[in-house]
Amino acid sequence: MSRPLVALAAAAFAILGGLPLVVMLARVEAADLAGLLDARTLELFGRTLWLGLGSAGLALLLGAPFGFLVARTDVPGAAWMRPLGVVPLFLPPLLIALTWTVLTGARGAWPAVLVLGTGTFPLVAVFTARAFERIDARREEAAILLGGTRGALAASWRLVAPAALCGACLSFVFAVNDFSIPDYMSWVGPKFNVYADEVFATWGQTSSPGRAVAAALPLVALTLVSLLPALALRRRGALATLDSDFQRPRPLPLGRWRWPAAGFCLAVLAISVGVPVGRLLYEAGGGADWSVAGLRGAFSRALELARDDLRNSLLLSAAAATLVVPVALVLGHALERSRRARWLEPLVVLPLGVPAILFGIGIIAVWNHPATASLYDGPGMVVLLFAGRFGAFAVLIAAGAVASVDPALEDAGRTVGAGPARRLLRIVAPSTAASLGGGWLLVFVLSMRELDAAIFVPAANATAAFRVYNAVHFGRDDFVAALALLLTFLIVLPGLAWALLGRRRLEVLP
Amino acid sequence: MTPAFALRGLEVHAGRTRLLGPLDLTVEEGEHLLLVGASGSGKSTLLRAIAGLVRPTAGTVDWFGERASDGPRLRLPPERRRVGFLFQGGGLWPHMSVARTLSFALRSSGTPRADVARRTAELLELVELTGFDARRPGTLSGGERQRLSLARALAVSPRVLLLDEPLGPLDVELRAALLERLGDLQRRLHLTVVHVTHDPEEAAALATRRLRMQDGLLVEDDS
Amino acid sequence: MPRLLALLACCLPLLTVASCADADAVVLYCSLDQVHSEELIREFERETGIRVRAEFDTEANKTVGLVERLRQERARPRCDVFWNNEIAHTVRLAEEGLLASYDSPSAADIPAVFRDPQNRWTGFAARARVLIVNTDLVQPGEVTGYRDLLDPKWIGKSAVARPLTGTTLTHAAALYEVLGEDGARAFWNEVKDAGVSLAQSNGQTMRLVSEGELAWAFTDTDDFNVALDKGAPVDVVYPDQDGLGTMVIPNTVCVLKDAPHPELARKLVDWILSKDVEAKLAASRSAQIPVRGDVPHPDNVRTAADFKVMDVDFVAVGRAMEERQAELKEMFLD
Repeated sequence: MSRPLVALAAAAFAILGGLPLVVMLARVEAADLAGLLDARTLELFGRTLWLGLGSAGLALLLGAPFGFLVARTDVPGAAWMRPLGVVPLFLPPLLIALTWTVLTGARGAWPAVLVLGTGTFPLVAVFTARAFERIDARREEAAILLGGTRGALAASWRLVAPAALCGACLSFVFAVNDFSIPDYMSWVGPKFNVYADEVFATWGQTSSPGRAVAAALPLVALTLVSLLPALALRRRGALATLDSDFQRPRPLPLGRWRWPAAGFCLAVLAISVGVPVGRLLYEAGGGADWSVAGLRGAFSRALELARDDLRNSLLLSAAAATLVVPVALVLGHALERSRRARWLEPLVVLPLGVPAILFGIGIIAVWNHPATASLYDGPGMVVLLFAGRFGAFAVLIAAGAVASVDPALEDAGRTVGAGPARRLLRIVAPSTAASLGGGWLLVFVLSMRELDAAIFVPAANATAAFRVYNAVHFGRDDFVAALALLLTFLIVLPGLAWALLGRRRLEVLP
Repeated sequence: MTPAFALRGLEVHAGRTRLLGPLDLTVEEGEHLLLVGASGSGKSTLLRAIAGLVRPTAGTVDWFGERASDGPRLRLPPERRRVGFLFQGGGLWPHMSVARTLSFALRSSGTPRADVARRTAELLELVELTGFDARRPGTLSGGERQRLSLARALAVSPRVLLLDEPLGPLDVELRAALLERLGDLQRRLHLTVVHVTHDPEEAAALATRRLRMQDGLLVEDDS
Repeated sequence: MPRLLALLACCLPLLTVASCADADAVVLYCSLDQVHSEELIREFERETGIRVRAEFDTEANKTVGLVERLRQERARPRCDVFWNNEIAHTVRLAEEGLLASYDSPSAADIPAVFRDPQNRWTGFAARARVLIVNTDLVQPGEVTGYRDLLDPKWIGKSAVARPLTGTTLTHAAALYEVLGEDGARAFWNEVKDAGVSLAQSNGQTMRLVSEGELAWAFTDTDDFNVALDKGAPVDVVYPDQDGLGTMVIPNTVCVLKDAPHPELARKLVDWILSKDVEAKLAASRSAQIPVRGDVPHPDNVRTAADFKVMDVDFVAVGRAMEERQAELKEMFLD
């Protein structure tokens, strides 16, 4: 691969995602590290681990079968259940928690696991579904001849498990970095405090930034440690290759298990999407005094007040995702194909491992200078923040996709005289278009709901996520609910419509 | 005669495993070298090293009198060697139609835009794929795909044609037809060919020289 | 390569687009809820013709966001005026030397307790730390003050937000000043040992009491008013009227040192501190308590002259905040 191109992409990534972190880490002094982990914080840490493992376990339990069923079987309704399955990623977790506590009164650590697990199961489902689709039809048919559907599953499982575990690792990462859910769900009885609480409390408490950054380090380390197996697993998952005569596998017949399987998928969707969205609809319509007029009123108020914010959110998120994809393609390709670039992989995931607040403050430190003032004050800063914070996802997805492209396709490009950029654009990009689209979508979605770091960037004030959270505090339930629904639908609807009406199955939907 | 290419002390490693060499090999222009050997003996790696697709760990490659690689330093990248490579399994681009595949190869190798359509048609005619323009590789038969691969390799007006098991997936009749076509092309275009196969009988009639590969080394073929 | 560069080039203009707000707008960082403050700010714009670029905090960040931004932007201040919905962080910013002195003529009639002796900040429109009681579950007079939290009959039926952030933290820290260190430490230890329910926020305690899940809880007057507006069966108790008095936490407004638009900043501060704005905040859904006795206000809103206010030295509370916070964290985050 062309070195200037890779260097350019790496530099872009380093500036967007790495620099804010480096600036923050540079503030840590030796004294800040002293007494970082005492008996109290260690206990918080232990609980964080427990919460993470519980959530990841649940996400795996729900996501792996769901992903398999909707991607590869003749389960009824797979076409619309699959895109619906990613909706939980768009729902603010606190709203899900709110729903469940209101409906069931459930409190404590286990309900927190339930909320985080059902909120992150799509990560497992998406990875599983993609991995199952990469299995060549002939390989699968050979297994079917030997052992029926069960035989095919047994043969495929070794190829799919790494991908599913990779998703579970990401679910773990989300869970250990969350403090609002365990906090919210454990207000009666023994508190279920977690380490993320400690990080946040230290930020509020100390005016010495080094100490606050230092407090975050154990969590950063845990996150990175849990991402590393994900990276290793991803590499192993790369065994399944798509060569030029790749044949799409056909849906596996479930026979008498068809309807029970549909029941399972529906149950998963009901818990993770139906109930929270239903509750939001209920609240948007006025709760106990629910009426269509009330619902319409709440929506029109939300639209009227937040139209500009919604438009900003859409534009800024789309711009960030669009900025990220070419960088991700170049870097993902380098990570996968170049031996020397491989050691960069742990660095690439670093932005995913740091608390939002640290990233946000790092952004100020890097960009709030006279020379970059107009950029810092403007919407471009929000784009750079989104891109820096979530770009790593796109890079990893691109790397995974490149792994499944037969290297001979690129070699053939070289021998006919195509240069690095031409090969990347004309051979690699089309072969990985679906995954790149998936990466685009993921960055877009995460940007749409990003708040914790964006609070530090001036122009992020005018985004829809910001307005939703401001309104949550005020407690205008119908307005909040309508706005949260609008935000969700704006992201989901185009994909759903395409999946249902489009002639071609929507491949970019993960 | 001038040598098309010359390898001196060439070695290729993957980590600590030696895949190839050290070996010396000189191939003259217009030669048709047949490389035979069991699978895993290093034949494909040698072809890829000749094309520049793998970096040697030691040794030199001279390409029409020019130093193409010096140890691991690649001086002349594959995209500038004008080498036609017929990959084992085809290596066809699944997202490009037949005509697109050829026009992409032609444009990449520097054919003026104005000539692309004419040259594409010529190549299609040459490999008897006229009328297949819009088809994708996934819809072609084994023989058709192999012919498309060959047309793509020829699109760069190659100075050297590297064939990696070109007849592998074909049945007996198709093999004979394709071999005949190859021989015809070689004579007309005065091509230098390195032809890798595990089947010693294949292309015996066309070969001007035969070598055997064994454990990554070249030995005289006495079969 | 050229195409890839072209693609990147297409994205660049997006990034270099300067801020949509123009350079001569006064920049306001506002941690009072957007829904309460936004309309007032628009009114200022209409009245004066001065454009305001307002940036808000979110509840999720519990005022850490804007305060931390002000600190980090110290190298190149871009904020002119900080309107904080509480006082402790403002005092800390003043101590850190981030604020400019400005004696606003509008503040002349604001009681001295709500003003910085060095004029670096001024308090106005306050929230009181009150008890929200569910009238179906609590008889009048049954709860009267902060020590009722420890009454065994209310354990599990009453709550206070965890005293680590927001107004609850300020309240907790203030108790150290009024009860003395030992007294406050003993009280908070008792809260912990007795198993008092610790909610996430004052908004949450308000919801829980409104829905009847709790009999009563500490909350802020603005949150209480939301419950009242929704028609929940709730009443308010101003705690400790026979003792310490009720804690009152004012909004504060200040001009940043090296503010890019100092003239406009002072105009905005004068306007925010006017009686008219305090009256509007009292009449708004957040029902802020006027700190001046002669500000018109609706019947359901009291002024600071109508009840016994806890006598707190805010400067001392702010100065000791970091220490208090560390201690409370050790206590409540385990």
